[in-house]
Amino acid sequence: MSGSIRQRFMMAIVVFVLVWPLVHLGLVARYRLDPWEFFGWSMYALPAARVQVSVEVERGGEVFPLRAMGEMRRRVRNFARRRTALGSLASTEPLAREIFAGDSTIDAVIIVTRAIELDRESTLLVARDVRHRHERDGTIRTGTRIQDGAVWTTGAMGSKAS
Amino acid sequence: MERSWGERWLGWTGVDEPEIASSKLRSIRRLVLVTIACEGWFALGYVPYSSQPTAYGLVAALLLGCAIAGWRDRFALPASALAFVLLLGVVLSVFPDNANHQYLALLLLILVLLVDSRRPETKRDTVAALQSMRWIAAIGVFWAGAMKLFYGYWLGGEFLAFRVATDPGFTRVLGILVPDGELSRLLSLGTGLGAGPFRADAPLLVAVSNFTWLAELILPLGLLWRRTRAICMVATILLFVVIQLGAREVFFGGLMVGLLLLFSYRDRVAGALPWITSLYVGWLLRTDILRWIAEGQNG
Repeated sequence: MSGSIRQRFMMAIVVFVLVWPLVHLGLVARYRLDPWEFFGWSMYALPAARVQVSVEVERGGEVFPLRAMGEMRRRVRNFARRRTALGSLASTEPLAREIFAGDSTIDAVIIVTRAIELDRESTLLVARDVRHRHERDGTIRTGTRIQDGAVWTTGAMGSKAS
Repeated sequence: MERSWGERWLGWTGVDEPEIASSKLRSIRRLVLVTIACEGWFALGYVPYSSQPTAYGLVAALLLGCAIAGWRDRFALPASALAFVLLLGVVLSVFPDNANHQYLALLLLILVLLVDSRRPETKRDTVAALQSMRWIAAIGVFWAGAMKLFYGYWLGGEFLAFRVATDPGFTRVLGILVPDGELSRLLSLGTGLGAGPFRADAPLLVAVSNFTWLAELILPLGLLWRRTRAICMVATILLFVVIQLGAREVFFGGLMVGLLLLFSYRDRVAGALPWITSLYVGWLLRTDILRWIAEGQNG
C-alpha cells in the first residue's frame, strides 16, 4: 500500500468517526437501538435503555405465562439483552419459533417487550410496551407474526393510549 | 515537500516533528495494547464473557502477551496485528454486547498498523496517523456534547438528577451540588415504573449540566487552533477526568485521555502511561484492595 493510499485510508477512518453518529441517530430513531451502544458517542446523553421481556403462551384459547426454565430461560434473557441493544432489529421470531418447537400444544406465543424510559416532559419513568403475537401455522416449526407493532405507552398512573 | 490537501486537512490538529511523532506513536500503541489487555481480564467477570471463561480467559492471556511483546518496537507490528484480530473476534462473538471503547481501540489499532516502519515514507505516515487519532478525539468530544444537546436531557439537568438519584458514583461526585432536602427527595424516588419526577431543582446542578455539553462543543474547536490548543487540551482532559469520577468508564477514559494528550507538543502519553496502567490494575483489583483495607481496619 503506498503512502498516499495509507493516508487516504486514515482520512476515511476520520470521516467515518465524523459521519457515523449521524447514521447512529437515524438508526436509533428508526429501530429504537440503544443510544448508548454502537459507538454513537451518546453514552450519558440520556438514561441507559432498560428492556424487560415477558412471554405468554396460548393453549385452547387460554393464556398462561411461559414457565421458562433452564435453557429456555437463558434464551429469553439473551433475547432481552439483544432487544435492549438492537431494538426492533432483534426480531421476536426466533424466540417464538424455539418456544413452538419445545411444546406442540402451544397455539400462540405472545412476547411483550417493555422499554422503560425517562419521559422528557414529565421526567417520570414510563414504559413503552410492544406486543408481538405469533401463531402456529401449518408448517408448525415457524411462528408467524399476525399482530406486530402494536404499541401502548403507559404513563406513570397506568393510563393507556395507543 | 509539497503537502496534499489531505495532509493539510489532517494537519489542522497539529503537525509533529518526526522524532516526537515516533515517540508518540510508540506510546499510544502501548496504551491501546495495555488498555485492551486489562479490559480483557476485567470483562471476564461480566456477561457474556463469564459464560465462556476458558475461551475469553485465553483471549485475555493472549492480549496480555500482545501488550508485553508490543512494548518493544521489534515486535510491535505482529503484536498489534494479533491484538487487532483477537479484539475483532471478541467484538464479533459478543455482538451486540460490545463496549464502545472496543470499537475505538479497533480504529486506533488500524491506524497503528497502517504505519509500516520498514518503509521510507514512515515519517509522513506516522504524522498522519497521529493527526487522525487527534481528530478522532476532537470529533468524539464534540459529538458527545452534540448528543447531549440533541437528546435534551442535559438542558434542564434531568439526566444528572436521574443519575444522582440512582447511581452512587454520581451521588458521591455531584451530591455536593444539591441541597440536602432536594438530595433526599431524589434518593427516595426509586427506579420503579412511574418513579419521579427527576427534575433538577438545584441551580448548581443545572449549571453544571449545561456547562458540560457547552464545554464539549466548544473545547474541540479550541483544539484545532494552535494558540488555544494547549489550554483546551488541559481543560478537556480535566472535564473528562471529572466526568469519569462519576461515570467510572475507566478503560474508555484511559484511551481518551491518551488521545487528548497527543495534542501536546511533546510525548506526554509516555509519562501518563504508568499512571493509567496503575489505574487499570487498581480498577481490576479494586475488590481485593477494598477487602484488604477493610481487613486492616478490623485489626
